[in-house]
Amino acid sequence: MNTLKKLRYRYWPDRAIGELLAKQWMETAVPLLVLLIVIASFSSVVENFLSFNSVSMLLRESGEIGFIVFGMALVLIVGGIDLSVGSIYAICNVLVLYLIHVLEWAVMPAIGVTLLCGALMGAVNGVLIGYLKLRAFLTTLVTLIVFRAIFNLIQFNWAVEIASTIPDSVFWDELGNGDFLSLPISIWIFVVVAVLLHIFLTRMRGGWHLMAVGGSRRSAYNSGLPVRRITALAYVASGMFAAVAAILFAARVGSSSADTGLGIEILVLAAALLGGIRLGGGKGSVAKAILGTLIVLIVTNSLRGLSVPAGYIRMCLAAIMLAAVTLDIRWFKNRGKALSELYVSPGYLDMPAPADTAVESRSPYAVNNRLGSTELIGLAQVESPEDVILDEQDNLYCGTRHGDIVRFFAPDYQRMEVYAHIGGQPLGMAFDKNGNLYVCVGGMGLYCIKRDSRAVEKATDETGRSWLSIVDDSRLRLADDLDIASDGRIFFSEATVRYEMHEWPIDSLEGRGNGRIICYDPSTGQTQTVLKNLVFPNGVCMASDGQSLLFAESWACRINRYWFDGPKKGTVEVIIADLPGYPDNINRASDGNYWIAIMGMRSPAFDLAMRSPSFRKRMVKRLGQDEWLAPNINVGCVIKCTEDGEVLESLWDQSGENHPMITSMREHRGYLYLGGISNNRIGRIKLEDGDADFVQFPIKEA
Amino acid sequence: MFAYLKRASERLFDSFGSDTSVPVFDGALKPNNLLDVAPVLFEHPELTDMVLDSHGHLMVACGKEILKVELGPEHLTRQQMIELPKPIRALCKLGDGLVAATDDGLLFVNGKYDGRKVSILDSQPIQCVTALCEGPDGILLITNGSLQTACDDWAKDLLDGGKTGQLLAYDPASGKTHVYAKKLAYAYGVCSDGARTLVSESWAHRVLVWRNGTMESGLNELPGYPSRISKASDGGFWLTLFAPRSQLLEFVLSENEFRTEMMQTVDPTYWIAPALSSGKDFLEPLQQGGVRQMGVLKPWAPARSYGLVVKLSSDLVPLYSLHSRVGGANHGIVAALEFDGSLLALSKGAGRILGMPLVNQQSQD
Repeated sequence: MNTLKKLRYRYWPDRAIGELLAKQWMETAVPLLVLLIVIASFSSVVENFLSFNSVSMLLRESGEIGFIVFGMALVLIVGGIDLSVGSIYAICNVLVLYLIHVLEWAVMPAIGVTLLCGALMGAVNGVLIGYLKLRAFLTTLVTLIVFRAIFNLIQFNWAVEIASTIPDSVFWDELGNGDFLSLPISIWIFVVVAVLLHIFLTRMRGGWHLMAVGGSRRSAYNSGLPVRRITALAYVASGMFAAVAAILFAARVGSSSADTGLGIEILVLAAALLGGIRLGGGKGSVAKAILGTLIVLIVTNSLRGLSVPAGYIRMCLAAIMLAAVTLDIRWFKNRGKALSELYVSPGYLDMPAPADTAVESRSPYAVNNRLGSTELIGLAQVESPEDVILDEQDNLYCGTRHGDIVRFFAPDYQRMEVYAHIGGQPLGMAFDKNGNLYVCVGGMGLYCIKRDSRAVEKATDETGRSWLSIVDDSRLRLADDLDIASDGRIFFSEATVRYEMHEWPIDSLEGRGNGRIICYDPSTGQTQTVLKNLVFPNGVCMASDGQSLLFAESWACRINRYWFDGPKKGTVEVIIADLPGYPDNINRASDGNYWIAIMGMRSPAFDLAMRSPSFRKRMVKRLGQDEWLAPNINVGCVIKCTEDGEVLESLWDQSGENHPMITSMREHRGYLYLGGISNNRIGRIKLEDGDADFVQFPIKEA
Repeated sequence: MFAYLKRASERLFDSFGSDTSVPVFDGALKPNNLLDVAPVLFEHPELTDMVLDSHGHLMVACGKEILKVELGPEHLTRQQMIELPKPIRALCKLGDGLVAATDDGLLFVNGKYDGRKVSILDSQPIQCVTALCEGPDGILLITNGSLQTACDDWAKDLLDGGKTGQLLAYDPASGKTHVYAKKLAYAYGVCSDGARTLVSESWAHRVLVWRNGTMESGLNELPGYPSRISKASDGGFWLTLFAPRSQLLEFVLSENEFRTEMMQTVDPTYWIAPALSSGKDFLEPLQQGGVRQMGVLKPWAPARSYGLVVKLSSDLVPLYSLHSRVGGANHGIVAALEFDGSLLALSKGAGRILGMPLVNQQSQD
């Protein structure tokens, strides 16, 4: 029963759902899905739905309406709305027909003047909304009425003249009804413009400025963007796109009527919203606009093909818009929350019973107060010193959560200075043979601080991407601890690929093998993942034979040994399986043994919860993060073990006043130095039987 | 199935989380640390209950003994009155004497009925008496916590959803017992002011009012589990709450499989349940908000134990309160009474009686 449960939680990909939803391109997947559903449902109901003629007709129409949707999309992205597109479309349509039919201009100048006219009308909107800061909705409603009134006047005067002549331009005919490679020319123009617009929106500065103004107008203003000009230009573009659509429509239909473009703004707005372009601004793409256009046109054409009366078609469109807006608001508002709930996918973690820590037990883990009176270094001066290290002059180095590496000067450790600033949260540290300090920085990767110049260099921040991982695991999210082999290769752990530095406690609720051990070779600059699917690998320490390393798996409460060289290369053995707590960093002791920091203690209720993944999943969904069960990282200890996994002794701070959570310890010249990631001090205690000359990382004097 | 649909509709209409939500400490219950800074007047690890006898002396039940405690300005004297064979669960004054309740039954000490033992009430052996009070006409009001679990296993009764508490009235003159109310979710406090009787129903986190033969609702939606009640000198009441409610516990109460497995495999001290004191043992369950940062435990962290005494007006409206917050020592307040111008509070979690002069508490925001 339990093995079945274990297999189910190991192999069934429930984390795929959350990881897929976290991807940016998933937003476009929803309208794509809707489109496929619409196609599937209507193709079975309407005959000849997929015939060549109807598809060609659909493409032609979408090529025209699509331009207006592009314009509307740009205006929506910048945070406004343009209700006057229908009227601009109508005026441009009758204008180009007049120029070509009646005044008999050549096609290109006529098109140019029409585009200019569309731009000017858009500029009216732009000036009123962008520069005079009138409300977009009311202003464009007014221009809708005004432009339509102008159109009615013009069209009334010009209609007869337009209808009574036929232009004899081949180019005009081709534009309207010609084909290229059996697709209408208007579609080709549409595709080219779509690609260019996509490049503009996503890769060019203009597009970024547009998104910025729509996303947060105040921040864009504070960053120095010309907000008013960008807004106005968006309306100008909308006007021009409406003109383009009008030109193509004129080329195809060749006549004007009084109800050209009447109500087309509703259709266009529905298309934009259905595609997922937010009303509030800042979000939108060309793909979404195209998908929305296709959906709306398929729905309206199919309903028309089924002889549904026009009123019902309008109602259907209105219902679609209502549904789209409601879903959009609810999804957008709750996306972060839904994502954080769906992303956490707890696994099944069964651990052997913990070793006894009771004070009266004879076990080496028995609680004592040997760390009760440590000497404190840097109290309230450093925050989150996760690891501490000392050089050959006894100066103490530690990381802080502000991204600094801070140095305390020997012998009293009262004076401190910022040795280097890296950023992120510095975690494990080690000196190489030349005294360069290698630091695992959570949130950034593996960095090196040169000894002579104190320059900060990036060693590596990416490794190979695994094929079957949805999450992009080529980036290093949480490089934790490292150690350096005798040939200079650096082995370091990455605790989890699914969570960032600031949310690492959530990985404790998952208990899955999300971490890995990575090897970086400074001589070649290559980075390679050597071990995968580890449960929060944390401390790494070279073993005495130079061919293997010890590493900790925190939530699985065990210490393992991995051979990276020699006859046993590639094997992993568990050397301690029943730790009563969660191990963190591992460092060498002076007598050939190893110090292991235990950052938190196991509790029976939490261990039971780790065997009930569905309980944890529901807990994550229904309770706020503050209320979730957590591993008890308020209490920690330090243990010493041999290379074979025999635990010799343990040191505790029973009151938890100074060292509630110990993440690292370093033995140096007879003293033990303690660091903790949730703490604001470093502790120092004299070891009675510590070797007074022991230095963990002997540095070659240059 | 029903629960699933209900949750889905809650999700849609944004009233999500209403089944695990807990009232916040606000208004008259705004947190402070008055109980933590209050002077400790008496300490004993097995303190259970205290009462003022008819002569105005303070009688304290500690373990199996009843002690008479004199709190002088410089000195403290304690004098053992009597030692009983089993630990005392509740104590009250009746007429001239006292009544003590143990797991074996009621024992009358001093006064008119000195030496009387009652071990069966309403044809049930007395097992879990939680509070006693003197009622009108010399009857003894008794609350029985649960018929199924022993007094010390109250956490098991909470997790089981126990509803077998009772409110009884025993007339020592005639020896008759009346059952006023049955099927209460752990009755843990009773107080009578002549016309009406207040009963705390702990697991239902409310105080009920018994008047003229009917049970009415008094004070609902408390943010903790209420225990003993006592009269205040101005007609109001002092209500103690011995443990806090928490959202995680409300959630666990709805998760049957996990809860049963936890009760079967885990030691009761380490269940996900409230306690009278917490924070000393790392084997207790911890919630994310309770993790120390930079050496500081935030005061509004989710609490496993809490100290709370509330002053109610005669209309049962909370006027002000005294707290011992997360990280404090004086949790699990089970009894409070007014003595000589001070408020005494008995913290069972810390084994202390705290005393605060009453004048200070009037001006609370």
